[in-house]
Amino acid sequence: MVSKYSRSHSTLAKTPARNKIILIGIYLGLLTVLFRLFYWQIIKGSWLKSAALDQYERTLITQGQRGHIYTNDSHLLVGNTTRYHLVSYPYLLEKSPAEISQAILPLLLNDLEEYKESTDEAKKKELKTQLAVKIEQQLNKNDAKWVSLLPNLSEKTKIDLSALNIVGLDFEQNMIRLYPEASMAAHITGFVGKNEQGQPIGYFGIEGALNKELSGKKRKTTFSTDALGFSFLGLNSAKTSSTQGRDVTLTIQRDIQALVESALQKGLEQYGAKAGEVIIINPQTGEILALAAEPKFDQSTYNKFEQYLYKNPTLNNMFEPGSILKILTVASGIDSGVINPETKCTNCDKPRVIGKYTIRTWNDEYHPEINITNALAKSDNIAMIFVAEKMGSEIFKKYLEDFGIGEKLDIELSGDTDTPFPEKWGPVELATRSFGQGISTTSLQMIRAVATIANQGIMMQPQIIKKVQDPNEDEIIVYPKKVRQVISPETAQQVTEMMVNAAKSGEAQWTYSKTHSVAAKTGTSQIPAQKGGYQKDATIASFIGFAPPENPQFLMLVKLIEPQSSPWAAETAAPLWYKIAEKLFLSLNIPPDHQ
Amino acid sequence: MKTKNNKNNFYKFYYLLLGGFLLTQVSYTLYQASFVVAHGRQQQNLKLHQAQLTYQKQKLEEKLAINTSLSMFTQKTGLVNYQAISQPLTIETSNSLAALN
Repeated sequence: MVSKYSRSHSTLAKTPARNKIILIGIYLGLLTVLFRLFYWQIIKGSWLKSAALDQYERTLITQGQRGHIYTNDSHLLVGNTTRYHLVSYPYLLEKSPAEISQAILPLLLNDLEEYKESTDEAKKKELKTQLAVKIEQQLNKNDAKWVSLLPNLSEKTKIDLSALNIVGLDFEQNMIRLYPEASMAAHITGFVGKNEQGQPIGYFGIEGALNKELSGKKRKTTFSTDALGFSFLGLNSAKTSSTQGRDVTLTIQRDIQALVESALQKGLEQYGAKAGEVIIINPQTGEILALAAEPKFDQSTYNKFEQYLYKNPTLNNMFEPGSILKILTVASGIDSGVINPETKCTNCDKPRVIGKYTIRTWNDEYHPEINITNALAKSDNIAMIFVAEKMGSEIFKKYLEDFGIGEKLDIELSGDTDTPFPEKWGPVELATRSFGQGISTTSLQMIRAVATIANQGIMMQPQIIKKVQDPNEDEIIVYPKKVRQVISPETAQQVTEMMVNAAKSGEAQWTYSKTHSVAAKTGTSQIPAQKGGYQKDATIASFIGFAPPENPQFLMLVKLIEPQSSPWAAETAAPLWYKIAEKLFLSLNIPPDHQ
Repeated sequence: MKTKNNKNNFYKFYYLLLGGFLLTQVSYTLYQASFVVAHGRQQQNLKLHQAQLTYQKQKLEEKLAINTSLSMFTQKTGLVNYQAISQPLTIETSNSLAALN
């Protein structure tokens, strides 16, 4: 007989073995879980985390707009506008390419510049056919996921096209530069093109020099999304600052710039000049009020123009200044104490022979015992040699360097650099450089030098930027900057009076202002030939001056390259200078000082 | 028997309390989450509205710049109606009685 205890005993005897197996199984299971946890959390942890983030987080990269460029009187010179790129997803099309092309073509032609500008019906028809063929070809690419149809469409065309409700067509939005004043101040603004990566980048002028400041910033924003990819918890980015580039305000005034550009264009036609430049500066601050050069380019269609036109000739093109440099020769002579305005030239009665060269006056007329004031008015080369020889090459060279000839301007324009300054200073070089030959400079360097005389001998740094404004922070105002004192105020005063005399009684006296006193000087220089020597019958006519002489409000340089009506500055550049000056007197509220 | 009932009641009370606590937690979490979602949507709507307003502002500025540009002014204004003057006009003032009459 087996008692209930004996059974119980036998059960107890078996349990430990089974329990052990179960326990081992449980432990093995736990160990497996532990290993898996270790695998997923430690080994694969970072991968899983990024995979999860990929699923519920989206990153949006936004590029801010490029900054605007304004004139000093707050008119928009360069802004931004939206253009649309018509694209298609061929696999979504519900109509045939021919039907779609027929429907959209009349609307697209509204934005095709070449079609709108053409007056030739046959050419228009050809352009229409070409566009239709191109669109159909693109729409027929059934294997492609995306095809481009026509870029650069206006908002009106986009709205009209959207109203057609054609499935499979879409628009991509992009920003381009807007020029409300057309090509005004093209050499100052420069333009925006694309770099090798296809990103917008500024070239030349302000766009090139201040590309970093003007460029819109990129911002990366992350946000959580639901299963369909829509944001549901808002944007995680705490940043609210603007991504827009900085706005730049120039020192130029719109009305003066427009006046100068229009006058220069007319001047080129009137005098048959190949090219020309006009710069107006406030000599007391160094602010450039207007800067124009012809021929120029159109910023919005820059790729249709020759590349050499992109460069600002007033900054980059070197020329021999000719007689306008005599102002600096006389100023150097007076300031160094070797002459005064009444000093008489003791060897001005005949041509000068230096080495194997004979140097003459421009009209081959000689003035024995002429004083320096009259010598400047008559633009006497021999008198200038007299002054330079009295100074000696070392002193004259130092003064020219102090006047900034060859020295970069430190202006915020792309291409500003030092220019070559002559090293050899023999007797012939000293003689020719005294009247502006054998030495090269740029128009902006020359205007900075003469502005020094107009500003009591103090050189101011030429300035094109008035202020830079950050969308989030305060504006940065660019204040006038003094470079150095080049000549004494007394010398500057004496040279100014001599320049008034030169304007009144010099070769350009016939066109002297009837209402305002002006201090000015003509300059007719020859153009060096490639084979050495100078080109025959080709001149650069220039006229530089400021007004009113006692408190100058503006200083202007007019330069005409190879004028055909007359080679002389007194007959070309000077009348153009006065024509612009007459309007400047009104614009800048300069009262007349004589009738 | 009485002890067993007491024990059951205790368990019931414990689970009821636990359930109530969990329910409160879940409700509160859902309540909070609804705020987060609503706030997110509101933020998104505001961002959209801001983008629309910025776009409108840009369009208006663009229109203003074009309409006040000198080229537009020249197009709109008949410059032939104006006479160019060769010298500034000066207005002389006088305090004399004769001039006042």
